[in-house]
Amino acid sequence: MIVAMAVGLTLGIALGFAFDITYPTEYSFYITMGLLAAFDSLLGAARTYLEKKYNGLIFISGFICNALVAAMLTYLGDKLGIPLYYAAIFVFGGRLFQNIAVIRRLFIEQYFVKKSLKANDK
Amino acid sequence: MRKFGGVFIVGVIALCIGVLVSVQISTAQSSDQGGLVPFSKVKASQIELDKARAERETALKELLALEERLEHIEKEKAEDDFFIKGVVADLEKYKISSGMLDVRGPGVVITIDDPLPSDEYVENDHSVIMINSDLLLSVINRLKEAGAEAISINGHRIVPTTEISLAGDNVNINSKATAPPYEIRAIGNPETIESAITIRSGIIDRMKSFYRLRVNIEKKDDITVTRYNGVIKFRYAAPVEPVEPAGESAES
Repeated sequence: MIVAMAVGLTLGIALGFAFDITYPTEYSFYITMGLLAAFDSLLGAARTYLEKKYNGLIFISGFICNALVAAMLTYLGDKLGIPLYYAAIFVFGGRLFQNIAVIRRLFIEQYFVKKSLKANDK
Repeated sequence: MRKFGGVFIVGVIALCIGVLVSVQISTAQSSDQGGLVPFSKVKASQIELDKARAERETALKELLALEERLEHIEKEKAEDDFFIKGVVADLEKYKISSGMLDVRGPGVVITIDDPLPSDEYVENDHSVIMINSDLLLSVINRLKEAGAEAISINGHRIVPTTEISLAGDNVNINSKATAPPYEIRAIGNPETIESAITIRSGIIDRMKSFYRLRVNIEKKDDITVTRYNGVIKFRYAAPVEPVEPAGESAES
């Protein structure tokens, strides 16, 4: 799973650079917000996978919904003149760190704590 | 199989995110809008700028209208009084010489542009004429020498307070930012002016051969040189009160 993520990401980045696509700068902000949400979803998927609670439907729906809501919130804020995108930044940014923290703990549990237990057994 | 499908989906979505990331990076690099600046903020600044420009435009129009009215009143009064008529005629002369009036007449139009890009000169590097903006000063000096009565660069009238200075990325003339190509209009005897500036190893020659600038000189029968739009204020200089000559007072 995590290997698939890494491969997908690198391939995607390479593809994007190879085709040299650009879009109007006006949309840059929305896409950035959507990207943040997407990253959060991806890390969430990695976390649930490590917790062995992964569900494909939840992941995909979360991925699409979060990205869309983040972009829409930014758009709405732009129209209202209120920096609503802060909400997206805080929520998704915070969750990003949380997910990374959980993944880190799970990794440590899997690879270090178990090993030391084994060592103790011997 | 179920597990494999999940891995596949995650891979595809990661691919999408990767494409987005790289596209975002290349877009951010191609535009100068640094950092996370909301589009609305850029738009708001744009609107503010437009507003300020419109305000300036209306203020300028008002100034011109008021000046016209003043002129009208002066002329009306001048009709009544022969003395005032003379004063108004004088005033006109001083206005022309101080650049406060649009003037027209025969003259030359000189267009100066950067050299065509070549091996020695890369266009995006820097602008030759802007870096050597003192060349413009030299041209103006020559024009004045040749008897030009009114000169403007890109519509900025040359008045006693006019500066031509490189300020950052642009050349300031009358405190307004300008950029190439430079169009210098000079009213005067076209033949005299042309021969004065195109003299061999003169200023135009030097600009063409040494700096490789593209210079074009046109003699015209009727050109208009616009007026100076700024305000000339004297904060330090005051007229010297005429002092009675010492010898005279001693005699009387």
